[in-house]
Amino acid sequence: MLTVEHLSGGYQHLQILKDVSFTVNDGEVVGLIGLNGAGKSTTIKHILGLLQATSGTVKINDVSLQSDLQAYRQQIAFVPETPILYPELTLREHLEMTIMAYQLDSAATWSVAEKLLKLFRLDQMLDWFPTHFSKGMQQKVMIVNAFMTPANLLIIDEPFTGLDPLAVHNLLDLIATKKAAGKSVLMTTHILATAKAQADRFILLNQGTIRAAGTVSELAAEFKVAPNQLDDIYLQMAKENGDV
Amino acid sequence: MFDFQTLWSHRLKQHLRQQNKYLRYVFNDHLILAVVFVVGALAFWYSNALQQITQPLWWAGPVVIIILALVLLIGRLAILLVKADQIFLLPREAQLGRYLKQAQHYSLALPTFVMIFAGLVLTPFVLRATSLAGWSWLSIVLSLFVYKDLDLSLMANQLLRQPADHKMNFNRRWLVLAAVLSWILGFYVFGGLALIVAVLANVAWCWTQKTVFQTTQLNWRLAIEQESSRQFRLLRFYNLFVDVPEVGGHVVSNKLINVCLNWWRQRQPGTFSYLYQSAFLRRTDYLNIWLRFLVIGMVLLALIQQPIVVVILFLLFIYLAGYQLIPLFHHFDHNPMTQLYPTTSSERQHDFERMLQPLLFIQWLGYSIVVALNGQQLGWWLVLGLIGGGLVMIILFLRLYLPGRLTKKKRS
Repeated sequence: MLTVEHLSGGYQHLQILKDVSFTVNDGEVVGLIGLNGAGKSTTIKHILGLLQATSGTVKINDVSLQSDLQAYRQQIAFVPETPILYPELTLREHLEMTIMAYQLDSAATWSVAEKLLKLFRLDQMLDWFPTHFSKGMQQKVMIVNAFMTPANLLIIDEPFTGLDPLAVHNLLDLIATKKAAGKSVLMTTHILATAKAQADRFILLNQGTIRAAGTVSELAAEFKVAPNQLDDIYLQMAKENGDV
Repeated sequence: MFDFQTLWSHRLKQHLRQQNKYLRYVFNDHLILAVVFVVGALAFWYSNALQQITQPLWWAGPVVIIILALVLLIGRLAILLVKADQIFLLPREAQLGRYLKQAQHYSLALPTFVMIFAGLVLTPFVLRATSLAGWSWLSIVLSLFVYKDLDLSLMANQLLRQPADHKMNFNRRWLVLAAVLSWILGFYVFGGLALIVAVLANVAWCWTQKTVFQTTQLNWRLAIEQESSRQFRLLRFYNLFVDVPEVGGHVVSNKLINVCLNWWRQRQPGTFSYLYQSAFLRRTDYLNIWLRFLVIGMVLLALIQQPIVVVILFLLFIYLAGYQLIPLFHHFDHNPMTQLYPTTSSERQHDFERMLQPLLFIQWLGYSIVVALNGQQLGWWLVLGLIGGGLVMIILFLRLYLPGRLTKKKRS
């Protein structure tokens, strides 16, 4: 369970987040949504500990970054928005790297990984260097790396961009299995129509604060848009901001 | 704002600015001094050697022809296109013909210097050692210019996608062969022939191209690939004098490296060991640094007998190799994934120190073997002292110097 309380922060001189609080329960999938620049990625960077908060706390199952760095990190698996890979390592070695870093049991994890690789049709490419893959394939490598760990919290940044429709479908299934296994999933996205298939709740960020939170129907009701026209929420919010 | 007509001059200015930046480091005081000495010595030797020649030599003609052929090979087409151009310049592709012509003219500049220089240097030798008349030699040198121009034309042409019926895959080899043949004619039949053949070839080529050049398409992928590898060669040369950020080395993977890597990984497991070992063996730059120290050190130790120099070399090279590999510690800093692993920074430091250990020991072993083979000349006590001193050096470096250095860097 992820608990974010009164989180404020941003980049050195630029405060972006203002008093953000939310939770992601075990077995829950929460979508973090908002326009570009709303603070989605900044929130994720704070949870990952890549940025330092000016105030507020972030805890995963009551462990914070300050109290036990290693145990905290052990609980997170992350799929970044743009794939980040080692030019020096093959696909197989990337997976081994993750196994080593998370101190996982090699045989058990490989049997999970093999299923994931097969699912994403990467199983024949284990000895290739993924930096030469296409963007969608690289994204799949990152997904396999994250989903083969038993981490309690999965953070997925813009998971659907660049993936083919089949892979999107597979990813949604994988998220569902993680959810069923009692893991927490936090994902940012713009594509509400796809995300709503698995997300239990959405948190709508606007200019560094939480503008609204709730299920799809709750959000639709709040912004007075038709449930099948979810993207109008963005339009409504832009109007509130005075941008349109 | 952006004027396509001035694209070439804009690019050229940018390119020359970059070259200027690096050339300042290349032509530093030390190098100039060294070049002055070397050139002076060579000139002295050359003029002395010329004095010895009193009658034509049978081998002079062939040697000069080979030198001319090598000079002809110097200089590639500089088109100064970058990757983004294949997207942003695509709509103006039809107008690129002019740009290519400008590129071709610029590319002739540097080879021209080399050709004039080669021509001037060879002149006294040719006049003394062959029976060639002055004007014949002049016509041969002029033909070299014409061939170089043709060579660059051919290179530009290679970058175009020709319609199937105009397909002309002219190989550079044929051009060189033709040039050599015409020079043979020039040397042994009639001097003017070389120039006549060259001009005829160039005119004929221009005539065939007249119809094609305006209408054909550029092979963007090939053009950009060639240009970037040309630039990379330039930068790699500059990298000998000053750190060039673009030359980061590249990743290689072959069987031998993979075998070494697997063996090493099993011997020294660890999250960051894994990364450091891979980067060291597969990134060409780190491996090259270490190999250079290993090989050059061993060669120098084998050649030098002076005890004090041997001591300094032996110890200094071990220290320098370790010192030069320290940047590898920060190699993965830009990768946020390494920040996210559930590992501690002391683990990382420990892994790095452990990775350096076998490298320095291999170096020590190599040096020790070389000095031991030289033991007769160096004296056995010195050899023993060196082997022991090398060990102490490694231990001091790994246990005292390196931990302090890594933590200091982290704090700053």
